[in-house]
Amino acid sequence: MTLNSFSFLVFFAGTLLLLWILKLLLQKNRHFPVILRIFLVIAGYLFIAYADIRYALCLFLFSLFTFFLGLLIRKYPEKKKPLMILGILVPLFFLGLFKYYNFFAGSFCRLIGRNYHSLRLLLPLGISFYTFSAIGYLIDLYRGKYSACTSFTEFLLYMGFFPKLISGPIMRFDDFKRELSGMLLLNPKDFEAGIQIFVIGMFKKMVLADHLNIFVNDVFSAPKAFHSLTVLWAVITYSLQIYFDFSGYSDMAIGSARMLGFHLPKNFNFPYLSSNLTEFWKRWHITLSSWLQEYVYYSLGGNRKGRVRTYVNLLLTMVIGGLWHRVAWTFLVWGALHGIGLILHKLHLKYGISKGCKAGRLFCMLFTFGYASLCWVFFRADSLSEAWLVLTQLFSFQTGILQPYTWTFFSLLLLTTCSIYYFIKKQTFAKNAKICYPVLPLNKVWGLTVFFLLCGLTIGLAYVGNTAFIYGAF
Amino acid sequence: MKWLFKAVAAGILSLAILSAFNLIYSFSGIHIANPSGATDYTWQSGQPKSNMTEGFSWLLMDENGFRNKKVPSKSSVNILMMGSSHMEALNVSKEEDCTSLLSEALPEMSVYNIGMSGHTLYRCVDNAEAACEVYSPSDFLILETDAVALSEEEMSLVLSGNAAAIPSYDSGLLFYLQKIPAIKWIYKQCTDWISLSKKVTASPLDSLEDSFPKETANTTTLSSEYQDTLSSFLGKLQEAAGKTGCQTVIFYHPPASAAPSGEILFSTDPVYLKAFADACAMHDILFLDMTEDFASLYQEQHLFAHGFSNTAVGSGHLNRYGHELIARRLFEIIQNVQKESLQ
Repeated sequence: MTLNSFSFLVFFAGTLLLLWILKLLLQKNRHFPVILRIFLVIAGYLFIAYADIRYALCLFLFSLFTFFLGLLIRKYPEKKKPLMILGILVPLFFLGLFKYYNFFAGSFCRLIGRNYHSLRLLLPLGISFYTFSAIGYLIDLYRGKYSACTSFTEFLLYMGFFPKLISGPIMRFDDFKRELSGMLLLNPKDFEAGIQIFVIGMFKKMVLADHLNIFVNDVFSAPKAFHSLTVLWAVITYSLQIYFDFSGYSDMAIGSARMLGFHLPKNFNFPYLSSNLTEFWKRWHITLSSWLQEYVYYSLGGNRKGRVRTYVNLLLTMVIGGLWHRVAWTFLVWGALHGIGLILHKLHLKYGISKGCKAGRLFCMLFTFGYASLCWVFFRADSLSEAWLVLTQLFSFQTGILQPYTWTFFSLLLLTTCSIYYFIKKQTFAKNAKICYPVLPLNKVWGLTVFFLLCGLTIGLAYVGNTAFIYGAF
Repeated sequence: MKWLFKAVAAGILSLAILSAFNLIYSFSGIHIANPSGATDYTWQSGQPKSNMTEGFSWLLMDENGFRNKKVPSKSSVNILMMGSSHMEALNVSKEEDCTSLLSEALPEMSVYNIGMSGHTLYRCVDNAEAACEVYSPSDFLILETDAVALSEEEMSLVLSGNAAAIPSYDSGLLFYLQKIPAIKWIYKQCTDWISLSKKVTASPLDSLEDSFPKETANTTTLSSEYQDTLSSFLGKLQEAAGKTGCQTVIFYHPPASAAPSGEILFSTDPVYLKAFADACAMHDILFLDMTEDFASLYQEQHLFAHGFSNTAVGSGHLNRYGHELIARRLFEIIQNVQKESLQ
């Protein structure tokens, strides 16, 4: 059940209805917070079991293991280091087994010249995301940032809160706990904002990303057939597609949580307006880049061990970030290219001329967008040879099919308009870190009309074929 | 309660705005049953149509609900064109479809197109007799198909007279709901979304998109039963056309795509293609296979005969290049037949 499926809407509407009944009947009961947590845990497990009951079992075992390790760290603080290492290695082992076994076994067999028949291993839904949540939790306990969770239902909910289960946003346990304790269940203000964020997310995913996907698939499946300009257009299209796809998903997750009264952190903040790669990673998949910075980059030593180590740490962090998506040479190259880009930006800051005019900033934005787009070629391609084929076709000025795909024009126009609006309203958005959309007043006729129009356009313009979320595969 | 009134008012207002948008963006109109039986249904007389979902076009249907620039008198039709949405050609502008181009090239002849969405070869053959009775084409009956690997079951249904016609909703609530463009639009999208399939045939307000059947790849032999059924099927068509004494032509426009090597790829099964061509020859039906023309178009100009700048490359309905090529080849065939008849 993906967040843009009709079945999710039915599931979510049912959850909201039951929560509303629970609130009416039991709000004054002193056990209401516990009942609410149990209800949300059940909802989360139903959500994941709908895809496959083994996914739910896997999530439960991961949660149980991490919870007990947390309790052990609390009870035996002198053994917290080996416990933490155990808590990192075991989930990573299973993550590696599910996700990376075929890659390593295949590469090894190729190296020794043997045939390898890949195993059909089950990849539990959301495993990459909840593994990161679990590891982050244990590292935080080791660092003494907060004490271990003693409520199993609370921990189960942290790991299996359904809006963020499949593809994040990744949240730290203490932030989650704070939000949970301050959660105002089904309050009208949050509901009003949440439903709008959800619909905007649906529009991004179903109208924009899914239509862009058609063209990208065509070009990447047969790059040699296309004119270099078409390939360039497809590379730009993929940059837009992955943004609308993943930020659309994040909006739907944030919106659905917000309707319940829960605030998930912002995951995207107009990344293509970045004027350098460092800024790009502060605006793109914010919760993952924060996680990598906090738990990988700092753990490697960050910038505390000299300049060369800083650069090596940056490169390693980005390569790990790349391989986290999927273990493949393409993702390794993608991560390495971003690492190199970040190093070059640091060198530029140190030795280069960093002051610039507005035109200079615009040039930097275009350059950053161009660099990120070229990196996305490796992210999208199925193999290094396919990526190479796309890049050679792009830069060799070949003739071929010319396809000025109109959905790309439309998406670019929309993104540009929204970016201009963002610049104009920057101060307003800066005050509210959790949202970068205007919220319509749904108690006024004009607000409701615009909202209904948005809903109608989302359904009417949606691509209704079966297109999965890109990040659902990671 | 006050909020509810506001919501209803906003709902009505947004429905009106969405309907206005829909009229420009994608409006198929209301289809009504065709009592003559020449087609299963037609669009309402003078129906405006818009299409920005696959290509870009805005046009008006003729007084009979078909796509023609002008309506000839029923006794003066020289060439009758039948087919599916490819012939209906709602994706290209009014001057760019095959019928208009053919009319322009043959000013002395009257060409009438009754192509309708959903009317695959099965429906056309089933309706051919009635169509010939209504329009009495004196020279040619031209049919379009994008598939030559036909279903034996479907052909048998046509032969036994049990094939179901495409339903219309001429009365009742569904008929009136069709009149609100946004409702039809959103209803269809919702049914597709729920089933997550690209084609929903059971949808009552469906605009009856055509299926694009994939040819079965590399079949080595065809059963004699299949060949007999195919022969009878095309025989039924020829029998219908024979009553008016016109020449039947079937043109095949194969779907194509770009192969990873960069070459054009047709999914046509050569065994089915040969069987179809042989069956046509047996019944004195002229068979026009557009494969080579489409291949040349791609090799020389990197263009496909199907697809638009807002769809997948090379797939979907015929575009203006496809219509132009087909019109040119049909023109040649008509010229040849006329020359032969003069000799």
